[in-house]
Amino acid sequence: MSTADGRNIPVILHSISNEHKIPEEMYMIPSTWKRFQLSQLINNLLENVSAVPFDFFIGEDSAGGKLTSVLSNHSNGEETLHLSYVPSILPPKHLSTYEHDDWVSSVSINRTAHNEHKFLTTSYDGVASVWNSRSEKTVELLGHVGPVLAGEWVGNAVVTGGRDCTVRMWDIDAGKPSQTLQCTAHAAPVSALAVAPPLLPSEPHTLLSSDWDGLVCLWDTRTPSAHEVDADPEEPVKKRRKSKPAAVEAVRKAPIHRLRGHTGAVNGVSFAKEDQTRAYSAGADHTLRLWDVGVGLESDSRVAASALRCVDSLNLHGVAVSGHVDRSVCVWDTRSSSTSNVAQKLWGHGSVVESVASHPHSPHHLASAALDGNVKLWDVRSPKQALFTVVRNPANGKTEKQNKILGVDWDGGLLASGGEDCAMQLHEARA
Amino acid sequence: MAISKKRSRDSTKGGNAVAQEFDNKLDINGAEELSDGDNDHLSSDDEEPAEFPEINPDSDEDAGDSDDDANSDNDSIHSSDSDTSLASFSSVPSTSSNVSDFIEKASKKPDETDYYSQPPKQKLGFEATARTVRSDATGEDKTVYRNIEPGYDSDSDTEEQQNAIGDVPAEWYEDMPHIGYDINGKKILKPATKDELERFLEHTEGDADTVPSKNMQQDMKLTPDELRLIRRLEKGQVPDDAFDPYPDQVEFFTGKGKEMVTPISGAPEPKRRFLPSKWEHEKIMKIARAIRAGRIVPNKPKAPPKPTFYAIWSNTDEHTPHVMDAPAPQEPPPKTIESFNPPPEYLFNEQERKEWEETDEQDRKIKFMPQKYSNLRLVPAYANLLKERFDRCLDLYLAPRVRRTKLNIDPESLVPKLPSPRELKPFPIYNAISYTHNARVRSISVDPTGIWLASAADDGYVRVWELSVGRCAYSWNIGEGEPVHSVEWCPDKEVSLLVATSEKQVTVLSPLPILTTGLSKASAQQADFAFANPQAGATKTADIRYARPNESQRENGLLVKIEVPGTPKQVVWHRKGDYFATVAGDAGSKSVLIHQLSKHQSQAPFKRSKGSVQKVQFHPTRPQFFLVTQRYVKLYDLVQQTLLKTFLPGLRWLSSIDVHPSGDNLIVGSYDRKVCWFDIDLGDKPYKTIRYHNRAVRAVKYHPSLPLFASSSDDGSVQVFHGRVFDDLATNALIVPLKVLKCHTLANGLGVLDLHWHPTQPFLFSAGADGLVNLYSH
Repeated sequence: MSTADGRNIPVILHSISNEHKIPEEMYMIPSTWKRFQLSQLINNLLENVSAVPFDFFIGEDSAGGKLTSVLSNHSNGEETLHLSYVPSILPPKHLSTYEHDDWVSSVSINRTAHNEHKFLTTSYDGVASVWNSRSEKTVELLGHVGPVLAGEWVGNAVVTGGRDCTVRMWDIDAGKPSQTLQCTAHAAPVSALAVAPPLLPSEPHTLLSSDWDGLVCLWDTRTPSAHEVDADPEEPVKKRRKSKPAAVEAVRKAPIHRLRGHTGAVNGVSFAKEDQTRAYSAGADHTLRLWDVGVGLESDSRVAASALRCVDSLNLHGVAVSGHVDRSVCVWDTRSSSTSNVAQKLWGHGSVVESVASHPHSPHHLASAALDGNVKLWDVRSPKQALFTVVRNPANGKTEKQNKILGVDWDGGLLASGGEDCAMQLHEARA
Repeated sequence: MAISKKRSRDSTKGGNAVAQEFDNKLDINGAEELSDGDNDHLSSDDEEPAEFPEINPDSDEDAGDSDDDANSDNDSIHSSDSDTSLASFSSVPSTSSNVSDFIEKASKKPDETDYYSQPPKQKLGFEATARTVRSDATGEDKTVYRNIEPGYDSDSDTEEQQNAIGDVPAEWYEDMPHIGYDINGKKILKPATKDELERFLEHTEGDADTVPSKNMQQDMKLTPDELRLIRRLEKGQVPDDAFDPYPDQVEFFTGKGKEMVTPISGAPEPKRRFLPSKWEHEKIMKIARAIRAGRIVPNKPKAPPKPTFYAIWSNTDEHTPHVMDAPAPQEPPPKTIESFNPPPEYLFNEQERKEWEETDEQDRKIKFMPQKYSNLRLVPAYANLLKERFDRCLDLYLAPRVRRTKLNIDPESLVPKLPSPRELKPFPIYNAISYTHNARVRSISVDPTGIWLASAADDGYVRVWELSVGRCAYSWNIGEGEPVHSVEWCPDKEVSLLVATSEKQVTVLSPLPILTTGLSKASAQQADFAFANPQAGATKTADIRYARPNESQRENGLLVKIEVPGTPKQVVWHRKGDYFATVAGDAGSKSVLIHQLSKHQSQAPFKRSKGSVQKVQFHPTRPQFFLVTQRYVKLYDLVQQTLLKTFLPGLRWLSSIDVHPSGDNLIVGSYDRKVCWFDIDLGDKPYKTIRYHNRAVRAVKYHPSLPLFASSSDDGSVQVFHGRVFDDLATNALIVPLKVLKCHTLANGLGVLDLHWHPTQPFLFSAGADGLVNLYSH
């Protein structure tokens, strides 16, 4: 392997995305070039005013740090090298901190509001809050008895689930936030929620909720005219100390389907991105189960090496990603038929992976958060190492040890994470 | 067996002509050997060298007279007897005047001429024994035959054999005056033993034709026939001299005038008789081809044999040593001091020389005096050479050498084959979550659903944690500053109750506000049941009192307070979740109490103190109860109220116990750093003693569903083991050390105080004196 200085290699550069396209011609580049020089070359060709850094791939694999070795090891110097490039993801940048009174259990970014960012956070003090991008709390939702464990956006409305075993839907557009629905099918604390947008704007959203008892319930957000479930006579009225805004009693709703199958707690649910009738659930019984939501039946079950803590679906057909107790992030290819087929395992976290959020558009990128206080951004094409590790500043005067992250969300441009430090932190992470 | 000469004993075969013949011949050779004692009445006939086979009529007359008394009816019998005698005589060689001739004949192969050419003279002689006498009774003449003694070939044993003791050891009669009994039961006296001189003389005189008879304890003379038999056997001949191995061929079909004229078969001669053999041809051709190819060289001169000799000057000893060969140890090589020209510092000065000379030869450190010569030529002969060699030989001879067989065993092979921990996954490997207390955590417990973790600390608080995220969900201040010693969740999944023990108090708790509605209601009802039905708990012990906390306390989950004597340090639940036992080491006879929650009833099962009780444990499947004293583990039957078994761990101070969920094994930890595994059915000694901790072992725990167990110690470490119990009773439990988890710091010399496993997942919890509870995940 002679590192021939001054040797030139014929290279053809393709752009993966439609922007940053350059004419497909062969360039002779020195074998000593690195990513920076290649990026410079493309920027010069595009006549960009501000330089955009690029990442280069050989075929589908990320060449990453190995680009140098690929170039220098390109032995004969005659074979043309095909390189693809994408604008590289910039290191996440801390934007702001949203302080809470108690641990933040989950965060969610409203993806439908185009011009204004809205964030929903749920907290262990029983409050779900909606924030705007200026770190201002716009709405405070009081109603849950005990901690709120999960929250999701339903269009411009909000749904939350708490340890009081209820799933509540809130209307926040009106001047005064009000609870519109209450789903009381669960007999155990609600651990996770998932929302699928309707195919037609006139139809209601569908909603999945899971609890610690292994039950997954399917709902829609249509408000029934009357109570579908009788009120629990034992419900102590006294406990509703904080539920003053919900003066009008919300309509109690029954689920469309009760999906039973898990033998332990269900820690996460997610709709498949490409198909609203399919859903994944992550169980503490080491299984990832696939559900046919339309008929309410389990369609498949995959066994993992350890208990699953969370699940999300990648923007790639049939591919799910899950966080595990054994510190790994697993990428599942559910299209193939074998029972346990982890397509990839992403190792790098130092503790239980508590939450994963996939990129809304990219089929390769995801963010994961673990109890060791790290949020990592991954490209599933380069599984050996995370793209970035987001450094969170200790907030609220918490020590470095008290930094468990319980929830993360990523809308492709903003990365929100919240946890033990009683704060949601916002980072810019564009991909 | 050297038998030189042989004489028949007259007493045996009186009328035997052969015997007589022998006697006659021998008498010619050495008549002086004969002594009177050796002959009986018939040998008197031999005094005359009469011509055989003439019978002395005088001697026969007595016999004839004696026969006269016999019945004349016997005559025919006599005659028939004589016929048989004749038949036997016919095979005996005839007499010969020449002794040497006879010996020659006797030693030769019996020739048929000896038999068949022999005229039957005996018959004549026998016929001569008959004579005619006048009968006294009838007055008529009658023929009287000679009285025939039973023949030589008849059953001589009955006659001769006297001693009838059978085949028993002769030593039995050694001290007796007799050697046995005859057929009539009379004692046979011991014959006079010959003294050594007699024996010697007998031997030198050559009268050695005797064999010792064990039965009669005297030397028996061999008869000529026996002697002959022996001689024939010596020569390898057929013992029976009547057998003719070489009879003449009797020609039936061949010979003059017996030729066959017509062939047996009329078939023509086959063709193959006239053709050369194909197979022989093949064989010959094979050899011929080999000769042509040069593989066989005919008439090849043989190589001269290699001379074999022993290379006497060769250095290498070609002889392989004997298996038991123990070579002499080598002498150390000579040192500088032994040189003929040593450096001057090795030479003795005056004082050393004097010292050397004065010390005894045995005690000298150096056996010689170093001396300096300017060149080798001047060195005199070594005076002590012989003595030194002799001493060396003496050393080698007198000092026994031991053969030490080297064990060529690979030490790796002695290590038991254990599966690799890699194959035994999952087991806890890293500290995933820490739950932070502010004070020393004494006890932890995980609820049966695996959602909550309870911990009891020295600051008096009992905390309930949401174990998956490590958030403190609820807490009580039970001890109010005093330590809470133990906490344990009720194993019943229908309720969510836990029991905590502090000084003089046992508290039943339930984290009601964080539970779901149904669960909190069931838990409160379960604890309240006995308050609602007070008649159920009829028997109240004086110093045990069930108290109902006030309403605000009850709303916070403080359900029942039980005042007990002493400070309970441990609480364990029965598997059904109604009974729980507490141990207070300082409460004397009431150190062990079993409480029933549904009836609010407490009892002390042991009337007398069983020594200082350390821990107790309910059997997971049977109504049995383990009691850990300082040194022993005792197993009691709760129904029969009897002691079933006492286990002897052989440790000085036990600290903890846990019973395998299958109920057949238990582990015991001790303050002397060891962990013992017992198989309950296997006896009272531990199956395995594990000593991996550096300090006192504080807690041991089995996983409720997976084949794992762990031990924690004051050295701050938690050790995880794989402990698989097989259904097959013949297979012993498999114990594999898996992982050492060191995540606690020592505080006041205390390390990890308690352990607990998650009910379903391979999660391990450890409570440390540093105020941390750690969750270890796989």
